[in-house]
Amino acid sequence: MIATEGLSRVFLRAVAPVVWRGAAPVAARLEGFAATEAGSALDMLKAAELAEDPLLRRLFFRHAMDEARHARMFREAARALAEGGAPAANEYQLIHARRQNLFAWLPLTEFLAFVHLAERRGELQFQVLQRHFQHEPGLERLFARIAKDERFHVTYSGRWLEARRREGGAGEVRAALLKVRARRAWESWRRAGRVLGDLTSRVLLGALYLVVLPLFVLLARAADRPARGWQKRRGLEANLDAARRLF
Amino acid sequence: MNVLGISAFFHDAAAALLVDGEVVACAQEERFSRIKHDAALPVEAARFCLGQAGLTMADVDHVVFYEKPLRKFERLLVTHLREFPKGLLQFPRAMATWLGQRLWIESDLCKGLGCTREQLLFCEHHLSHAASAFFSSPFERAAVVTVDGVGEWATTSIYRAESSASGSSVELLEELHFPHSIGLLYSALTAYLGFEVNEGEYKVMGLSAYGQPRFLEALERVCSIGDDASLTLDARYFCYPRSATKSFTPELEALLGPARVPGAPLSFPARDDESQRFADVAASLQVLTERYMLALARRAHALTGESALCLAGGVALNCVANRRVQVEGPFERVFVQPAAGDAGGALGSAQWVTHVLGRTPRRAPLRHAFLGAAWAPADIARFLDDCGVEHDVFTDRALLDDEVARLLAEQQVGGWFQGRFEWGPRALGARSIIADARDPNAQDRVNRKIKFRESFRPFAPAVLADEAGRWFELDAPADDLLAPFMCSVVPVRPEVRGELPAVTHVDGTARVQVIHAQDNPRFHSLVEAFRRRTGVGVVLNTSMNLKDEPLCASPAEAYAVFARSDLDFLVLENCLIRRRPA
Amino acid sequence: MRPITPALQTARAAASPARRRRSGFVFVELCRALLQSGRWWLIPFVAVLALSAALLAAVAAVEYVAPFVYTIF
Repeated sequence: MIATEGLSRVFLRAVAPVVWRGAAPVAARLEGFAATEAGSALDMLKAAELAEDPLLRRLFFRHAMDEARHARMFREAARALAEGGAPAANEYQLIHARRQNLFAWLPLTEFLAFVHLAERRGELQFQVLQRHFQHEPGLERLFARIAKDERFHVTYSGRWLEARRREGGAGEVRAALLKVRARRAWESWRRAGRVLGDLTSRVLLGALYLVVLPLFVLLARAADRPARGWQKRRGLEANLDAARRLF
Repeated sequence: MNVLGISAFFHDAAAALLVDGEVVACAQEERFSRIKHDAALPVEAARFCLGQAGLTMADVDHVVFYEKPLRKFERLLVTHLREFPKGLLQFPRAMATWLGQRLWIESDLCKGLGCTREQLLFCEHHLSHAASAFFSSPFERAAVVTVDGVGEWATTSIYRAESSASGSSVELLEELHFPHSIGLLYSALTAYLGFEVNEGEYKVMGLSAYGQPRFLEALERVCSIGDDASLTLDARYFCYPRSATKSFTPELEALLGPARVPGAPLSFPARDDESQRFADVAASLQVLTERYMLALARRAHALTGESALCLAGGVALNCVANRRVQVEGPFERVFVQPAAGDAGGALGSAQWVTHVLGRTPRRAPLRHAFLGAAWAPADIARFLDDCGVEHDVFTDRALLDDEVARLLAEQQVGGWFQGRFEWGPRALGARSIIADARDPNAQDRVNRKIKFRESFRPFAPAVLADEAGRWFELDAPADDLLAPFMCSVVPVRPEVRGELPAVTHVDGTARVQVIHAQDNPRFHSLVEAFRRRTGVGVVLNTSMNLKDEPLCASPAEAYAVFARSDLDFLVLENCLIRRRPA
Repeated sequence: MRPITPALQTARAAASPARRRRSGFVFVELCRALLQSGRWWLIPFVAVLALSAALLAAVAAVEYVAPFVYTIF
């Protein structure tokens, strides 16, 4: 775990100077963070709504308010960076949240494992960015503030998981953490697959279009007459047999 | 007989449940998934509907899908053949979608909803629309006109519908076929004006009030209306048959001028020629659409001889056109079902199976749109307590109404969350943001602090039924079937326009909601309390959501709107949350 | 906190007996649809599409490759 985090930190520090340079790209990435935080806010608010335990409700609610505040902070920072200030039209564009609604379909332990790992990743990333932007006070303060909140989220979720371990759920917690990591890896694999699959399907079906369709185009031009004006359809049936058909 | 209707896979997926002919629950999937216009299979909405009736899928006699997928696929294939080779980029995408998912719709429905193939039925798209309007109306017989982008092949259809003790029928008389579609014309020009298709059409309607129809003649070259109310679009100007991302060609831009870049500023009074040009295009389109809807109404009347008209399909959400049909058309009464777009197909397909195939007698007409989920006041109070949110609990609703009326009269803007959420795109007092309609600054404040909408878009009034005639040109408000659902735009009486600046559009009209006590008691009592305090029984009413989000459904989502905007207060059933000063 | 819902009713048999429907392959139904609409000349093209779908289904059966044909199938 520590070795993995250490490697992640090294990797993030290495790529930061490449990825986080230039006002426009930085502003775009801050907008992306805003969307992620806004989605997380809605997810945590839903979790607060559905949770039965009053303490968890309060913690999820506080988490949700934190994320909503982070979304606004990232958005304001992005606007400040955008060239010449935000164009008027952008005032009407609120943050598009990316929402997953995990609480509805994950068991509680797995949900908290997800929150714990996601917040740890976030905290790590924001600490690295705080250091990267140490010469830009505004951004440095932004990431410092948000990393501090992420630390709270890591702490409360970690404490809950620890309490669960002490109650005899050590295996459950370990399995939950593994499942969350595995799911993340599988999703990355699927994303890559989707990109390649999309390309493959376009090539194959494009070939079909160019090679096979022309014959049928000729047939269509001979046999098919586009309809103009009012059409009357006779013999329409209103019975169960007709309703079972897909046409 | 229990029938579950489903619409999905294009936009505005929804589920609707009828139990022995009674509409028990309807909801759009977006209210649960929080994805605006969500098109995915409405699993959550279906689950909600069944839960509302205390049923499981095993208790459902039929699950009916709102269109015939193979007829739609036929249209897709034929269109690609006609457009060859211009559809090279679109064909692979379309085929991947259909071969990958849409053709296997039976398995998808069974797997997603937990039903069996034996339960599945399929109803034609326009027939679903027609049924949703007729069976929700108070009419025993009517002409029904359905107008949208396109269903399977039909873009515009005329039906004759009737119900009696022996059964019901919805008979197709005639239809127009793709690509000749007023709905697709409107959508193409919505895209031309830089707005999002299936979302921005309302904005075009609002924008049209700022323009003059000086492009009408140009549009008549693009779209010709026959003496028989048939429609022909000139294919040179459109590419929607072969493209999913672009709907108009450079020829249209040569005719009307360059298209508006999405997001480019539009403010009125127009400070530049371009803004005015776009408003004039919108005005021209709106006039053409109104003319066409009137022509359609006259044709439907000539064909059927009926005195009542039901309108459905996405174009029936054009409230300005609806008003013209109601006032200038040949029908005595006009009805539009509140979810007239694709979501309504879920309701209509279920109604068609229930009343036509199942011969189940009709129940009461749809008098209100509160068919979604509700939350118990005690649960809400406990939620707020657990989350540490300061709030006041009112055990006496009258005191709550008085307090909220006082806040409104002090020019505060608040959220009002009561009962079951609305069916359809409009907030009607269950999930509303409300403000004082007399306040000249209300529109600007609601826009800038809460809704973040374009400044030219008006807000709508909600008025008590017994004083609707005082403020608006509504001859018989009690009989008006469109106003309770905000389906028409009516003139504000000239002598009182100055008193309702927040809800009077630049052309002196308003998309009014008339509140009847028997159908909307909670909202009625609030506005009554406001009237007692101010002498005015009108409030500004807009939907409780932030830009690009669906209407909120649950108390937590309502709180999310409150927390992320500058609303002054939020009412969740009998709990009042006030914004604390920073 | 969940929406208000009534207690689950006792499950009952469906009011109308569901007829056993013929299981029809969707491409067969599509051919029937084209015959009915008079566009029988599209049937060979549908056959080509059916073959393509079958080929892609066979590829997608290999699970670890599945993500790569996700959008195809």
